[in-house]
Amino acid sequence: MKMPPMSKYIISILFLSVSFFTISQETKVEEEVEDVYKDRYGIRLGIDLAQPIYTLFDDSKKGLEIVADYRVTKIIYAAAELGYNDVTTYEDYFNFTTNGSYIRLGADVNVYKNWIGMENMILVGLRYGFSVFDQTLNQGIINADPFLPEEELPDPVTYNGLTASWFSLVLGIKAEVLHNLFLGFSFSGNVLLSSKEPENFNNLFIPGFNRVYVNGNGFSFNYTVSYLIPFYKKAN
Amino acid sequence: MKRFIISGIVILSMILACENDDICIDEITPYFIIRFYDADDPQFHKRVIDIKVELGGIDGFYEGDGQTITEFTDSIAIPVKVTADITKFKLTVLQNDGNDNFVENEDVFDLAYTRENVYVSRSCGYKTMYYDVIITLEEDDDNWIKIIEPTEDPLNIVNEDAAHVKIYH
Repeated sequence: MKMPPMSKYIISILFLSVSFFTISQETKVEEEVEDVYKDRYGIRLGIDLAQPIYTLFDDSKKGLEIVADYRVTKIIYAAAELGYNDVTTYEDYFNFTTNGSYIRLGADVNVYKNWIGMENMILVGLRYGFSVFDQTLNQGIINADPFLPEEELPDPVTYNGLTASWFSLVLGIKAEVLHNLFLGFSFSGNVLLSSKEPENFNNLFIPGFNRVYVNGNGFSFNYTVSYLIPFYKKAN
Repeated sequence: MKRFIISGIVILSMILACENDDICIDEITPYFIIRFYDADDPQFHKRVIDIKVELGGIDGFYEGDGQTITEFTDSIAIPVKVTADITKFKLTVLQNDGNDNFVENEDVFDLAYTRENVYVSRSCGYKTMYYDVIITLEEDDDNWIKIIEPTEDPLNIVNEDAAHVKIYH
């Protein structure tokens, strides 16, 4: 994710403040319409739009993420994301490529009270994330006094079979833009639970988690387009 | 419901209080630290005058950041090659010839070692550590270095906590 962290932050704040305004405009729906209206229940399948765009325009990033959620109760949705990343990160003294897939499982709670017939979401969710990946240290130089001739690190080294797990707190919105078609944005704050580190290197990037900060935190976001396949209808 | 979102934002901002690791503040490749002692009175430090440091195969004098090598100092910190398993050092000092004439005297010694590249951090990258360091002083007619002696045996240069070598002059 190449956006500067600050703009990520501002964008997420904007999105969140939009959700506040929406709430403040909320008005009590009269209960005159009897409880005959039935909510639709079903599975919603979609993909993250950001990752294919990165894949097209940024040579150092490839990725794909499929998202799905299943409505369990009026406000609770079981949710999952399945994805793949192939990302090269450039640091001052070396660059490395992370390659692997991830799954995130959890639930979303819709905290937005819809008008009857609407199915929009302001969601707060939790995820457990797990990733299996390889790290390849491509190139690098030894960090020593500049008076000395530079020493390059030996040939690229690949560390296979690495794993990591984490928890995410998700904030997001989903809006029905066409019948059954939803656009969404979500932002995840991630906390690393476990990480199988390579020898003489570190997992500085983890698929699904993104950049790992020193204290094991990170953040990620997605823009999704998804389609609802209704299974049945149920009254509240 | 609002409470949900507010607590979510609070928790998120706590998570995102990330520590910055963009600036390298960890220890990188250690310098080789030499402390100068008085050959006649070994428990005392003795300063050297106007020391100049050259490394075999590299043009120019090593000057450091202006603080590690000064005109009148009892210790110096100098870099060791990360591209070879041996570094030749030439240290030139001004010596009083007994008639208050100061003349340059240069001495050469070798440092032989095995290298290991160790990962430090995202911003610092990799550093080199030097193990099993062996020091060999080249004898000449008039060595200003009387004794050169490692402070530990075997000598490893892995940090800058203390001097690695004592030179008596």
